[in-house]
Amino acid sequence: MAIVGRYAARRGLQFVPVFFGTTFLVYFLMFALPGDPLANLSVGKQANPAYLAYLQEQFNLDDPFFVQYLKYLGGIFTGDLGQTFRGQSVAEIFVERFPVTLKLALTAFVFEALLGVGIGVWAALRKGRFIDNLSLAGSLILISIPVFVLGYVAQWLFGVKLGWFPVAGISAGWPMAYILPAIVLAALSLAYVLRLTRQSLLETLNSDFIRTARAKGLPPWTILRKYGLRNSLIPVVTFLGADLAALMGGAVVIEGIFNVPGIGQQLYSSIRLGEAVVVVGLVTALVIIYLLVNLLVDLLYGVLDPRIRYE
Amino acid sequence: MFTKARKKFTIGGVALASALLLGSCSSSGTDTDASSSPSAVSGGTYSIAIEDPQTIVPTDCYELYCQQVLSATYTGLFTFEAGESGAYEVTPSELTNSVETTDDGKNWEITLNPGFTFTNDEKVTASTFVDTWNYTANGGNGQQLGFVFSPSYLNVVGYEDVSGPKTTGETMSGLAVAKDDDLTIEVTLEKALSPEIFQNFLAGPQIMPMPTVGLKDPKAFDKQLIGNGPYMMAEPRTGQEIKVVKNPDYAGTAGLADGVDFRVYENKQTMWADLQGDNLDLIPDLPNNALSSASSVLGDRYVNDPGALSYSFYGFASDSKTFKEKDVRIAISKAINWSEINEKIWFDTRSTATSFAPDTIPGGGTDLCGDKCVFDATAAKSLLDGAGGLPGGSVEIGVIASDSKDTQTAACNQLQTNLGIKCSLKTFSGFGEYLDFLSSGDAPDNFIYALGWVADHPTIQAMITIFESSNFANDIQYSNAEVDRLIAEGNVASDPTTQQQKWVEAEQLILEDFYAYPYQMRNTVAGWSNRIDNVVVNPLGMINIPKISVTEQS
Amino acid sequence: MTATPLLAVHDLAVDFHTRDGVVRAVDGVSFQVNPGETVAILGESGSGKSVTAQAVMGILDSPPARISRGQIFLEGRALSGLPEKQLRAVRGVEIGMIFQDALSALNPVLSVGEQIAEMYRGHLNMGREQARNAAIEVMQRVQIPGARQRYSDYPHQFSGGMRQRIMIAMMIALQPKLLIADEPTTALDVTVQAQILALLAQIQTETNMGLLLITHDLGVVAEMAQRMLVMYAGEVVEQGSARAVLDQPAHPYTAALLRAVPSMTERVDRLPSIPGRPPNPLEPIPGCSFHPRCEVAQRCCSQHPGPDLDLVKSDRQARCWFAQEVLSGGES
Repeated sequence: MAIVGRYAARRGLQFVPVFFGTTFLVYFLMFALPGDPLANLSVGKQANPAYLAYLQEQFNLDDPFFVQYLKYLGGIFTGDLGQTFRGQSVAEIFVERFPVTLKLALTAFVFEALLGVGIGVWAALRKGRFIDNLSLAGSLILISIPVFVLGYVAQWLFGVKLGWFPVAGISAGWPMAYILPAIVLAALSLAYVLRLTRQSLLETLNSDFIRTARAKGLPPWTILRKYGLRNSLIPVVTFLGADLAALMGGAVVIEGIFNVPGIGQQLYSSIRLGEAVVVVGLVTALVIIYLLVNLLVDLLYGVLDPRIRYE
Repeated sequence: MFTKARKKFTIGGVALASALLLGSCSSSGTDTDASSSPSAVSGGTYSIAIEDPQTIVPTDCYELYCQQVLSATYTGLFTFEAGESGAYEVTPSELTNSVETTDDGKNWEITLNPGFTFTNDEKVTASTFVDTWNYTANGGNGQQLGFVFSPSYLNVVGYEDVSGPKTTGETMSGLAVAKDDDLTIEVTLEKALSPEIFQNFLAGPQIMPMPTVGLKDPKAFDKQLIGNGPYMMAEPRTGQEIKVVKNPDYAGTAGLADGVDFRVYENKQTMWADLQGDNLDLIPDLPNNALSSASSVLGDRYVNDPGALSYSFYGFASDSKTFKEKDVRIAISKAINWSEINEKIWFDTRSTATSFAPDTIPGGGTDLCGDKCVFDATAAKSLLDGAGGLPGGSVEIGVIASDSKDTQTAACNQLQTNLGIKCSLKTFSGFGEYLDFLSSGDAPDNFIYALGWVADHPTIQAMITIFESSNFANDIQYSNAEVDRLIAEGNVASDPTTQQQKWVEAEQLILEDFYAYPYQMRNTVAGWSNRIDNVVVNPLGMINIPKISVTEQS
Repeated sequence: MTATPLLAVHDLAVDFHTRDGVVRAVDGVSFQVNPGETVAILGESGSGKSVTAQAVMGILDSPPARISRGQIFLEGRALSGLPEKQLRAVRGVEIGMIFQDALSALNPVLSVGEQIAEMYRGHLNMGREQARNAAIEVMQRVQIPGARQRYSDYPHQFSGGMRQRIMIAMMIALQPKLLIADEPTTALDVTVQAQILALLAQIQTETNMGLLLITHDLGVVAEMAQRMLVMYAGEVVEQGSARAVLDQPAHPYTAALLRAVPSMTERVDRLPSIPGRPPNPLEPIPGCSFHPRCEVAQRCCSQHPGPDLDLVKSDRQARCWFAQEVLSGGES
């Protein structure tokens, strides 16, 4: 356990340069975006000079890049993550929106894990037969269709036409309002998980130790479980873990189509408006979460595969 | 019960006749509304889609969506009502008793009716307005609507003392509560204004009055407004919804429905999907790809009225050598078949323009552009040839990618086909980038400025103010001293006829110079479900919330 | 002897149905193993020796492999044709099998102790604690030091020799009557090899277990086997008492193999190797399969059909037209 602790601590230290690097990079990118962020606030009408002057002052928009960045960092260390142009605090936004994104991500994750692994195993066991071919073709189609097409079609078919699920918004609560967006969100990853599971299981089933297990006279279900799955699912689990981290990042397109008020939506509008502090704050938070999840996945990998445990 | 008593108030100033129509007025000036009284049932709740209003604090609220929420929860000084001719005029609200000037437009007195209170029992008095307005103008507070009191608008005495980011003044000397009368507001302007303009400036954008607690802590106020209107927020707003319910203590005419649910959507596409899925009752605009099917899907639950206070125009830099010849500019105008574009791309939710002001504005709707705005490819070509052709042989049109790329592409094609000139598009990712480009001075000589304008209130002046030399929104930097003079004279003219005349003359001049001309007028578009009735949308895009009745109350 | 042999394989043929055609990997193999006896199957890769072993165990991948002919008897009971469920009760219990590369043959994610305990829990329904103790005991029996502590270690934490012992422990745990060992020492170095072979011999002595030893190593055959078969291209080409065959081969192939073994005493400039390569299973050779590489091949050797496995002297069968000549010409 001490080894695990030290490893985790070492990885944790890496977060620090990542934090600075990310905030700098994103801030720079936002800064480099064409257009005056204040002008973007004027939709059709132009904001008047006094108001613009106020914003310039408030958000240090007049300062050169480095000054802005350093002022921002200074704010962070006093706990001020910044605000939107309208005065809503970034921390507040995060607290309000992250749970939504989290729910969506977890729901999608459950779909992708259960369906992906389930069908993948089934396809591997029935290699060459109908279900195998069907799942391969189906997953190829899912990978090929752009996510927004899938989203709109699903929304129209299952929401508007059939009325099985709410069309948009989360007022119907969990799980009903989240199911449709979660499935669409999971679709691409599901295809990958399915193929990965199938491939991994097929390879594992060709391994020597499977032959040994049969020579031991073990029943086929035990062989599948302890010899087949326990080995073949290792790469699948690590993929799923990394995917979960990515899902947390907020699916901008899905959130837009289904009007889910998560981090993705907020990022989209903040980027459009040029609200650098919001984008930096949210992206940095997401990066840290991503790193955390990845760290957990790595530790989990060690739990699952004893061969890499004692590195 | 209350309403009958309240109707007995005297009105001063302008808009006398239209005020009497307050009770029965339900027409939006067109024929396709479903607002006849028999279906005016009370009770029930309905939902409206809005885009994220960011903030709903009245002094900071400029965008349509937040104004919409405020129109339900507040009663301000004025409303806009359609007159007999169908034109919308500024009208004192039930809160306002009279608006009078003591000296032809510099000193004003606005008298309020008693009895209006905020939902926290604080009375709505003159001090309420004075405090709210001072707060708004104060540069240190950074409120969007501060410009209402600035020299480019009302020009209230004492504005410079409070408006800069570092000024120390807290009150404008030109605003005061009348001595011994806490229901009268005194306003002193630097320059005289006509009654119509004075009221319009206060009506659009309207700064709703705020209770003291709101002015002290606007952040908390933003979460749950305390208003004085027919509806109130019974619970704080979430990021996705603002729910309002009937205000039982409202002093004015009550709304019909028991409650309204403002739902926040990220984009119009999702609004449309939800409307079709019977989950939403009213959408204030349709996504482009729904326009073709809207009338068949919605039938008569669809409004598409010309005359929204918004237009798109082409502008030419006055020092451009390419467009020096007026005939060249006119040729460009005549070479594009806008009605075809409006039909094919916009499914008739846009209309061709004959002047800057539609007929929903008093004095508007006359054909001031004349032949210059009429499509005629052959005539255009001969005009161009007669002027010696297009110097350089090519033009470039600026366009914001997400808004009107299709439109400008079609226009460009027509210029190429009908005039034989080359045409290309310069796309910008957003308005900010476009503005940057305009102010950088990098625009090439053959650049056509494709821009738009949305007016704040229904006056001709509001539609053409961007062509005033002093206006910071005058991006093409058009400058004609005569136009400036006419507009200024109209602003102070004390009778409506002279006023409109002056402004119409200004319009004519602009169209004579032809450095800018409108090519497309917007329509007011909205769609709703079969659960509600009585949907009236004014040319500013504001839905009359209290009038909507819920016919299907489950 | 009239006692029932422990294992009797009769005319076994195994086909592989591949995309390129049907491959006959084993063609007409027959042999017996008696209790306590070690029978070696000697051959190069591709000779069909492993397939034979797996066929006996019943663990061939059933598509694409198929036992197309022949029968297998364990103590007189026919194994071929038994339903899978009954065969599972035989595997691991009555017949054990160990493989060449213990690292890949053991499950990397289960502890070695657990893999051994599986035998007791799965076949004898023992409880967890009881199985654990039994596993530790058998680990001690195969001389794994510190068995109790190493119970929860994983295969990759052991040396090659230890891993092989673990595999042996696993497969003799239930005291099978027959152990099939497919190249058990090929992956080990020489000293460890000797230890493992000694261990196997010891277990045989203790339990009278029969041993079917698959190998390509003549030394191993010499040391362990009482009887041997030589396989080439899916067929048995020579069969008999191990000592006698190694002393005096009756088949050119066997003779060539023996000649290729470096001698401890003599010094030669070049080791005589067998020219050519084993035949491609998809392209069977007409006549005797060995004839293209054979020193003594004549024209008749390429004519179809090839020679049968004939008795060429007492307790010796060989598949060659010129077996007698090889026998007499062979050096002792």
